[in-house]
Amino acid sequence: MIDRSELHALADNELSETERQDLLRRMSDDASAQAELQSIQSMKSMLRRHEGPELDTAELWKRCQDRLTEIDKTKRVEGFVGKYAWGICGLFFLAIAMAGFFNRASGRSVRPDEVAGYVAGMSPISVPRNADQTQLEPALKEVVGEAFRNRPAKWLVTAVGRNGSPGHRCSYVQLTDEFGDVAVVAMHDVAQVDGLWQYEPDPEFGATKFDGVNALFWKRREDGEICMVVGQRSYDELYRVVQSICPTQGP
Amino acid sequence: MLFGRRDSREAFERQAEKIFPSVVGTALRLTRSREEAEDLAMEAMVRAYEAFDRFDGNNFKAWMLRIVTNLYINRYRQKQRGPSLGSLDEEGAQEPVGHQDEIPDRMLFDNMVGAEVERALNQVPEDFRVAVILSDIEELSYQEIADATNVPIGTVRSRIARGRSILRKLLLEFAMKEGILKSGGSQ
Repeated sequence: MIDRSELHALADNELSETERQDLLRRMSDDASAQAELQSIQSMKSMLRRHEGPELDTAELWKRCQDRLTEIDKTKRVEGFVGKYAWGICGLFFLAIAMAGFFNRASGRSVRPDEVAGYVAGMSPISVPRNADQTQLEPALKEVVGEAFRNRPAKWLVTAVGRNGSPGHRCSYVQLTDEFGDVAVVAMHDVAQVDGLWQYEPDPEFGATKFDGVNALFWKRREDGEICMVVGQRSYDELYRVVQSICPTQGP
Repeated sequence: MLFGRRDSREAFERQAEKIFPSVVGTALRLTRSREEAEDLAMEAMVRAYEAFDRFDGNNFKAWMLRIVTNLYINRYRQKQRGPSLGSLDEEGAQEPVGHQDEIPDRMLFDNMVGAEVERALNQVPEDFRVAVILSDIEELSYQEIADATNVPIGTVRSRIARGRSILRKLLLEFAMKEGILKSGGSQ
């Protein structure tokens, strides 16, 4: 018995030489198989001639080329990023580090809640009550700057401190009178404090509160550094403190 | 690297452009929808381009058609209408040759025109149709068809035999209906 698939394989030239010879031998006296083979070959020939539906592939080919161009572009970008990923990361890191360094080295803007960080790093030294106050005036001058004229007699310097950390440099003087303490702080690395509201009587001053405690800020005239006075007093009283130690400060 | 890619693109396009009509034609015969055929052909080209460095350099057309067929089987076939009737093509199932009188005269095929063939081809169950298209229209070998469709070579052989038989039967029915052929198999 001849299997049809053998005839198809013969027509497709997919039989080994041995198989082909064997099949041809078996077919020699089988007219049906011969007719079947002829029919298969005719159909193969017809299908080979058959051109199928008419297609305009030119436009589609153009679209394919455009798509390949897009892929090439994407691969170029991916290749560049992949190849230089470490370099790009390094550059970003360097840029961040430089920006940080620049920020610390030069004056910068801070928010009021960051000011606490400047003062927190300090350990003010208490001054004995019987200490010579005139010897402490340079410390007060360092805080208030060139505008410092005198220390009113009613004020006693009761503590001084300094923070030398780069980017957080500041000087601190605590003054005391019969109503209590006020602290005067100069922040040498700060050029601006954001988020203050304007102290209305004097537009050169800005005001805020730290945990309910009033604070006034102003800018030293000679170098633009920011100074602050803070204490359990009204803004007007704090303003008068500043006026009393550096009366030339203001508009 | 940049020049390497450009050279590769040119080499790919040089070969792909020649066989592109075949790719689109096969895609159209597989999907039976012009829109899906365009999508399939385009996607196959992109896949082929991305995998071009893995092409062994032997038969680009067979390689491309393998991608088209695989892509069609994996993605498009699920939403195709009609069953694939894959269970009919058991490997090794023997089909004896019919009587001589039952075999249509080869003149029948000479009288068939493109649209009739295409219509009949579209009615052949999918697995058989794919095998016949790849073998008789695209002229791939059994091994290449087996690679393209991920089936054993014996299955390809039986699918081709069965596919052609079904196609012949459909053409015969059409010929008898249209009066091209009278009952009994002779013109």
